[in-house]
Amino acid sequence: MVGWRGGGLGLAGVLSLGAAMFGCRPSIEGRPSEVDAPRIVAVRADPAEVPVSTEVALRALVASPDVADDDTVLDWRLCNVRKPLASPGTIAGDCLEATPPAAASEVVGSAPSVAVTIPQKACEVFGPTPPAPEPGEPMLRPADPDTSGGYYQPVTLTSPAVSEGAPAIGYVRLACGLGAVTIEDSVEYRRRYHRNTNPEVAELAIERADGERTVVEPGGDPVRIERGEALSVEVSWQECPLADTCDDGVCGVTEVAGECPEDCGDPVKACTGAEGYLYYDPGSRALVNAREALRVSWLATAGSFERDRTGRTASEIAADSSNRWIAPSGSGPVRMWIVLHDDRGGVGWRAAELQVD
Amino acid sequence: MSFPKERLFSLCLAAAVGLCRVAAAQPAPPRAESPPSSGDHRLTKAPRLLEMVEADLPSGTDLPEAAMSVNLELDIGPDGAVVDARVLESRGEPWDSAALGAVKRFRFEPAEIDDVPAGVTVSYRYDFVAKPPEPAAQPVHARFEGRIRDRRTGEALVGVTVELDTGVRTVTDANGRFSFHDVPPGTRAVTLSGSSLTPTMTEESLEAGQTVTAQYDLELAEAEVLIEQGSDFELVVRAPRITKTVSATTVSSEQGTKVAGTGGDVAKVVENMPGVARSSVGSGALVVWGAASQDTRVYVDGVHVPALYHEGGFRSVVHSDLVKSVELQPGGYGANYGRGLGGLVTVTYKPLEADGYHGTVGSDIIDSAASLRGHAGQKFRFAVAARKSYLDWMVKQFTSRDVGEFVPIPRYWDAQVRLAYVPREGEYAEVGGLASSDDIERRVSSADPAEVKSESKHSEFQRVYLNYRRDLDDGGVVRATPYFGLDHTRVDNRVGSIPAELTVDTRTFGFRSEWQGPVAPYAVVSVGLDAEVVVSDSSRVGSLTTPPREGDLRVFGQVPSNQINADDWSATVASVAPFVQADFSAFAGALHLIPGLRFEPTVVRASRIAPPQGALPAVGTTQMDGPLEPRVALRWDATSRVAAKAAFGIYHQPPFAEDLSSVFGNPTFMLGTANHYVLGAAYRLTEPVSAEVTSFFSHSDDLVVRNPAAAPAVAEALVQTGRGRAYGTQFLIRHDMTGRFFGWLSVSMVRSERVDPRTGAWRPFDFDQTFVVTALGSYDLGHGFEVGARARYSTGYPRTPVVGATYDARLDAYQPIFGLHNSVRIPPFYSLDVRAAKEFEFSDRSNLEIYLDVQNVTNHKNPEEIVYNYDYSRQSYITGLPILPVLGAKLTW
Repeated sequence: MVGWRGGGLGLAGVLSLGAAMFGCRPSIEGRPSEVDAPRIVAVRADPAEVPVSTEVALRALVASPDVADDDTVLDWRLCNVRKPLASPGTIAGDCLEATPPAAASEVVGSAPSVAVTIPQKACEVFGPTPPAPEPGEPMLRPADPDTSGGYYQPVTLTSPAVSEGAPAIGYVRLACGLGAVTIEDSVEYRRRYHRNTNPEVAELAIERADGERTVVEPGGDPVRIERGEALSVEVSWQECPLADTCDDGVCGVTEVAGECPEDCGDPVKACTGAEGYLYYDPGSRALVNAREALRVSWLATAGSFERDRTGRTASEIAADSSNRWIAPSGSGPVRMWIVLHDDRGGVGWRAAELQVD
Repeated sequence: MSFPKERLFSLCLAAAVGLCRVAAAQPAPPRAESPPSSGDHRLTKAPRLLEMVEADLPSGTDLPEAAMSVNLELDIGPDGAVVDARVLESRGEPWDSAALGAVKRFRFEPAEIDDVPAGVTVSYRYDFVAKPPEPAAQPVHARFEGRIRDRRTGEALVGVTVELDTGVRTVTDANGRFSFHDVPPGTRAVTLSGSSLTPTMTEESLEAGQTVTAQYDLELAEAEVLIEQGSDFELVVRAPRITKTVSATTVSSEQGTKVAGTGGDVAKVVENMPGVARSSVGSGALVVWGAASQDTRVYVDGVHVPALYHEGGFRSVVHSDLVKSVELQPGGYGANYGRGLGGLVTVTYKPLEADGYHGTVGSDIIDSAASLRGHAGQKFRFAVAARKSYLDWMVKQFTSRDVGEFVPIPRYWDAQVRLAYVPREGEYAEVGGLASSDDIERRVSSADPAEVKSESKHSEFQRVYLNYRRDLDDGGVVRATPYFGLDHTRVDNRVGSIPAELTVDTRTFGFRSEWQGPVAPYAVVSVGLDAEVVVSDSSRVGSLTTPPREGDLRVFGQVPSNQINADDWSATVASVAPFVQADFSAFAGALHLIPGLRFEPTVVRASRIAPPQGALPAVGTTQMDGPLEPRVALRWDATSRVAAKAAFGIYHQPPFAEDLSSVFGNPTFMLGTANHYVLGAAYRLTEPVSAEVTSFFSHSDDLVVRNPAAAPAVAEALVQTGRGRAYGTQFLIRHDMTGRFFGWLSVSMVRSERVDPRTGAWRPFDFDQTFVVTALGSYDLGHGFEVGARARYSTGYPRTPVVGATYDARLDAYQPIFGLHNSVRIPPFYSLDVRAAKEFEFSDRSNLEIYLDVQNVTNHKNPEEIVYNYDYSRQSYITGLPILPVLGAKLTW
């Protein structure tokens, strides 16, 4: 049939249809929610979205069965080259080399967290601004945005003590504006688009089988549970208003500073849940109002979660998510992390200490 | 003529019977029975015939050749009765007596003299006239006879078996003659065979009521071999044809439907032919001689169709009962076809016949199908066929209710209509249509928004065509096939918030025409035109790398890129290709040289030369090229058993509309190129067993590949710099269907490679399979029982190993780090399929077949794909089909 060509039909067809249809997909050991060795499970930029030449703080969450995540020293590098257009990954391979070329990667520092200034050319390398061609050469292709319309400056993090030295990739969302759109859309976008804010865990609670509910406070005493006990772990975040009302404490997608300085003045009052945002839909070539989906990653050093990840789609209004966790059969401390990811690259997390008796 | 006696004659009295076609007689002026005594009496009213009686002829008397009359004299009384009659001019017996006997029973309105009824005497001519013959019943059968001779010596060949596709057969007599009476008219397949001879087939058009006399000159390579061991020969048919290209494999419908694992679908047999890679389960992609599946063109009776199989590869898009044969030419084919870098699959319809009404109804767990053939008179014939799947419904009945949400069960239907007009012998016109539709839908729910997946694909095509063929008096033939087609494909996939949408609407205008005929005793020439205009409107939203293309580094289950874009564009690809090829024979036909030349002027127009830029209007671009495509094939029958063959050809392929996007592809693409080199030999081992070996090499240039640059120029996401090559050898040992058994063993050793645009190094093609071995056979046990089996072995597809992984914090997923491109392989595939069938005959042409087709009877767990755990630290395999029994029945009448 007409359709995906160039071998795409084969792979896509074979893999998605054939294998899934008749094949038996085996269960392979290892789940992302099981933390049995130190590994990076989140990287957060503060602020979550910045223009070029702006300083941003970078911090990683290292989940480890026995090391406090804040203590892990990481080597941070800025990746300054775009990945090949057809490369299936998200970052140029040069930036992942053990000793990256200087032109590709720039050392930021070695520390649990660092501050870095976004390069001036970031929107040209990773964003909608077409790279400058060589004299006499045709115009070059700008980068494609992600499904939220975003562009990202990649960074790499490595540590000999984490994932056997394998690099992890973090990102800083760039405030670059739009690419090849009409002037009207570009102006409207700059007026109404509000930069992303990292999501935050509003509350983490544990509910036992008998209905007893315990809120886990940051830095609080470990929650004591029994061996093999089945718990419902619940996480919630701020409910962002679905309808924009000036002076409701959130600068909504339809509000602008000139019309609602109470919410959209300086600083902009943002929501730390599933935000609404302005999105340029390349399919319809029009600006549309969108809403973030929120993913929740569940991790623990022992026991097992029913699901590795949960969350809420953009169309789901609820501002919470829960997961079932079975405590290990042996006693001892258990560390648990709940990581929130929003559609625009924002990250927030909460850790919890449990004591299995 | 033999008509009922009472209807033989028309007895006319001209004055009274105006209905008679042939005027009979005028009564002479009456005269008074008794002359008036004085001149005062006068005839005031002439007698008028009121009641005519037909003459009775003695039994067994035949009509005279021409009209005949007996002149009589009648005495009519005053009451109008015939008092007496006499013969004035005799015609002999029995005519005179019959006429007298008849007229004496006539009744007249009396004559009047002086206004008073009176007796008179009149002259009368009694005519024996044949009525116009009534329409004769149409003859319903034809007669076919002929003679078979040694082409070199002219001597009659004795003992050659001549068999018609109706099942009747005879053997040439001492004069080499044969004859068939009462043959159903139509285009009949004629098979010539004999002891130690290769069955050879040709066609004859037989018209009801006519006798067709054929003469076949068979060229015997070595007379002594013929005498002692039988012979190989080449059939010289009266309507000469271009010798087939050297690598074609043809399977008749009769054989193809009996192959285990095909479910009775003749076109599925293509998967078992030499040179064809095993497609992954659920795929049905045809990878022929290492070419990409989309580079192999499929024609159904001269009409290009976009696919041979439905989604999932369960069934072909054409009902088997309409199919006469399926032929695969993996490469090196002639100048009459083009626009493909790979192979050529041609499905040939059975000629429609005026031999009553016939049909089939078949059903199994996958689908049901029916066909009907018939005619209106001798000149109008028709066939209709249709098929519809219900596997999705069946699965829901026997599995959990929500399985359809997780498992993409294809739903499909197809239909074919054929209307033929046969105005006379040697002329045939057919109007037909094909339609096919496929749907796949699947949705995977998940608590993780990024893991919510949906997959929806709808594809359909329709074709209408006219096939015209006329056999010329000089042995040539003219064919013309104009056709029009609509294709529609809509893909709507989504992984989390990442879309992959594609809609393509295509209109195809095609025209193929060809004259073929002898220009000299040693030369047959074919001249034709092959035109095609493809107009497409496309839209796409999604990632550049989803779905992946051949050569992409990826693994199953990898999170697709969430960098997306969108485009909508139109494209027109038009080419009008005249071609000429000839078949020169020498050394009494032992040597055939078939040169050909095809000129392929092509125009490619894309609606956008650059991606959408705000409100700027789209600017299109047009590319043109006109390559020459020389092709040549050589076949030399060195002895009656041994033949050598070779072929070379240059082929071009226009770009696909999907690749002409300024965002996802490149609107300036033109033709890809491939050169085919083929060398082979054939050897006839025994009467029904032949062996064949074919080696080939092909190299392709200007293939469409990803642009390896990080920031390529706009509208150059794809570039036409790819190169490929494939080489290998295939063996085929085939036992033709003589007696109760047929089968073959094919071994293909193929290496297919592409140049990696990133490194410039050669690497294995994604669908490369080094070894493919297929053994199959079917045996007729008698009493309607039939068993068959198929065993397959193939090397696994190459894959790129994962040597590490990095954690991607934005996707919250690991990304693989790849090793050397396509440097490992999926483990080999092995499967044994069996088929058993029982046929219940109700009459000569009606029967019920019940069959059981069991795929993977050993329940071997064949790895189909490599899968990894979340961080790529462990791997395993997705396995393919478990044992799959398919029970079906087919009623034929």
